[in-house]
Amino acid sequence: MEFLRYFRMLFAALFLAVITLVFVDISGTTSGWLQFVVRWQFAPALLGAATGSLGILLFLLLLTGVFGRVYCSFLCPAGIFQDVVTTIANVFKSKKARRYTYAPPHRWLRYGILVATVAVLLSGEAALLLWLDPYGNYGRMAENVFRAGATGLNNIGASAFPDTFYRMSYKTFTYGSIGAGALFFVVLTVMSARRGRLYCNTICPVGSLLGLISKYALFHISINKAACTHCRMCELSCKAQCINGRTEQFDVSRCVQCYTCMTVCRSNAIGIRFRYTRKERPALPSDPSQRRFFLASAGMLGAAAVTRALLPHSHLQWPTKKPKAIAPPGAQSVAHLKQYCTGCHACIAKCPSKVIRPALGEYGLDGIMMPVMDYRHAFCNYTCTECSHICPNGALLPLTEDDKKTTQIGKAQFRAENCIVLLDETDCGACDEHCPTKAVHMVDFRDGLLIPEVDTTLCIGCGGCEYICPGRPDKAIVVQANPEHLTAQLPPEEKQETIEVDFGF
Amino acid sequence: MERRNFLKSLALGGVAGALPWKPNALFGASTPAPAATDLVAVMGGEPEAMYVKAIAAMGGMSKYVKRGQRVVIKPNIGWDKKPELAANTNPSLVAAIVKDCLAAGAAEVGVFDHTCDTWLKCYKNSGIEDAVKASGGKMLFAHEERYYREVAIPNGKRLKNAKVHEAILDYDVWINVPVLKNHNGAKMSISMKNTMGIVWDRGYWHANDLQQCIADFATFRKKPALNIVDAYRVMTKNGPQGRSVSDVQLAKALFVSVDTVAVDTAALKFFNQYNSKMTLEEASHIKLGEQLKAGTTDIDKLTIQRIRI
Repeated sequence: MEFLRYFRMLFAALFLAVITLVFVDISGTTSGWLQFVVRWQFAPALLGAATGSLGILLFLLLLTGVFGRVYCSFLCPAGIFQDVVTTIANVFKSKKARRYTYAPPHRWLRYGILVATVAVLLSGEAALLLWLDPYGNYGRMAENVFRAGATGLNNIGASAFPDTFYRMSYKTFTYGSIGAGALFFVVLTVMSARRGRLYCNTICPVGSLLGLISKYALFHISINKAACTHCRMCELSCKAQCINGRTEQFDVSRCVQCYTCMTVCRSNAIGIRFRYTRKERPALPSDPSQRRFFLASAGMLGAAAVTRALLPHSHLQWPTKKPKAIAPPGAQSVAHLKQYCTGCHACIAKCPSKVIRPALGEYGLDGIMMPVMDYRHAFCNYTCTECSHICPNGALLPLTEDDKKTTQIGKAQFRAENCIVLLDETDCGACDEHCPTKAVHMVDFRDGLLIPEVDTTLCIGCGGCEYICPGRPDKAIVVQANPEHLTAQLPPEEKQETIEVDFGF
Repeated sequence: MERRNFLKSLALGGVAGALPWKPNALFGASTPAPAATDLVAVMGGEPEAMYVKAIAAMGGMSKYVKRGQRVVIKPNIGWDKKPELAANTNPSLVAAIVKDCLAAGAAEVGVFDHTCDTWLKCYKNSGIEDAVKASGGKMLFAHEERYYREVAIPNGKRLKNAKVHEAILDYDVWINVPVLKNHNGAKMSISMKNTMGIVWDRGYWHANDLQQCIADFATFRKKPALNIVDAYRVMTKNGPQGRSVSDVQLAKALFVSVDTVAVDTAALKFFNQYNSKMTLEEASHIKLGEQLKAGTTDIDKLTIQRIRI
């Protein structure tokens, strides 16, 4: 059975490398199939089930229903990352310190977090899942911490080989998101260096849910009691701390299918076995506290579902909701974004203009780390749709180039009192220059001077005008958010007769 | 020696020494007479064919680029637009100039613009990156402030200094290759306006009398060796970005001059044939450029060659 473990290690290492590359890809060259790896994640597939990920969700559920938490060791980037940390940490540990021992389950903590997460999700907020989901957290960590590191390395390269490597700006990072990414990095590193898959078996709601399913999986890893010599090698090597060597019991809900126990067992007593044979039908666990727990959970989720059904837009109203937060194209509305986004920052990593940034307070407390348009340093490219295609959650729904050209995420508002044409009586027109639809256009002001005017029916809210406006300290043109995205009109086609000309001088 | 002969020799020698002889004139070399043509206008051909005619009329590229020199070409690559939309300089023209510079013995030909849209997309979708690489030139990076250095513009009225791209400062020769188009901010976008793409902080220009700043920058000590105005396709309205091909006329023209102000004046007159009444007073950076002695708007006094293909 060693083969399984090595296969798992190889597969996981490759998968982690590819998924990390999608986030760390500073040159923006990963494309197509490579980006598709972000879809093979449980929370995104669950949230995106109605928008194209149903197949992946069913596959992941089926996989768990047959073999248990294979996802946690093969596909979950945070899980694989923890295995890497554990392996590295073991180099620095004494032989004795490397040993794990069986830990009793923290059922109330695990399932309490799961129930709370699902309840908040059903109330129309992905905010809690955003902070707990291993994929979202890993994406944030890779996008902010690893990519910042890669940018630094690139810039060292750019100093050494200025003709080959181009410099990259650090302006695309924000302290808030680097902090969030670094926090998860530290938490995960400390937890996994000390106690293996502790995060996965106490906090992770995905792990808890898949753990519940794997209790009923077709195949379980189990100990052949006849062959077992009670050496406890399996228990001492189990990073999930789910094997009790004394009682020969496996807590399958915590087993992450790493196959280490099978490899270390000297008497070949551990194997993957089909559970539903007639002869030895295992007794389902019958712990009264567990039953009470399930009853309570079911009641809570049911109530949440009913509330959700009765009040479809019953968003928890958090304080400090600024009016100016513009959701990226494809988000449909701020409410839709909040319902589906787990803040993995794949859209931010992918955005070629770097106009999408992680929100801090812009959307309110329930939107922290969700993508928001920031026109201070950039604006949204007219024909670009990349963010909408990479989002695995369906928080940003795919847009065609034609859709994009009419997706109105906000409307430009001209504030003449700050405009240079009015204040200095000199030409400017920077806003008009950057407007792809001519929603912002110049009209006669006085003495041959032109001043901008906005036709909001044509405006898509790309922010070109706001970004470029030289007005200081206050800009003369600012995009006002559409909390619900609207449809702008396509710019009219103005046919022009072909004119025959001479030199003209 | 007789005193008379001595004095005669002395006088003749003095005159000869005082005269601005060029070495090749002394040895009877056969270079064409200098500045025979001030401005060349070509009409009716493809970009490369018009360029070949124009540069020949201007005395050939070897007059402007010497063997072993490094050349930087500054087209307009400001927008993430395809060549048909004429928001950027025609890629075939840029390619032809790159090839010609290399043929004249240039050691290196670099091409860049400080773009408005995302630079990688602009370089790619304008067709200029591919055209330049295929012709043996290279694209230079210009998207970060690090690539620019502060210079003084002592003769500027509003623009006293600017951060200019290092290639303009370090390379031996630079060639300005704008596209002729309508511009709702600067009124016209031709050679003078195109120089905004070699500086870092354009916002300062917009905030401090755009027309004056454009004119001021034309007094910068390092002038383009040539201004080659692409008017193969001309964006007649909704400039500088344009919305669709209906903003574009297929004009098939090209204008070349060493004088930035003169070539802009000529191109403006050409442009006005497209139902436009733009004056030098309205596109006032051209007029202001003349006042700062950056060139002349009185093109009737120049030697102009008009070539039809």
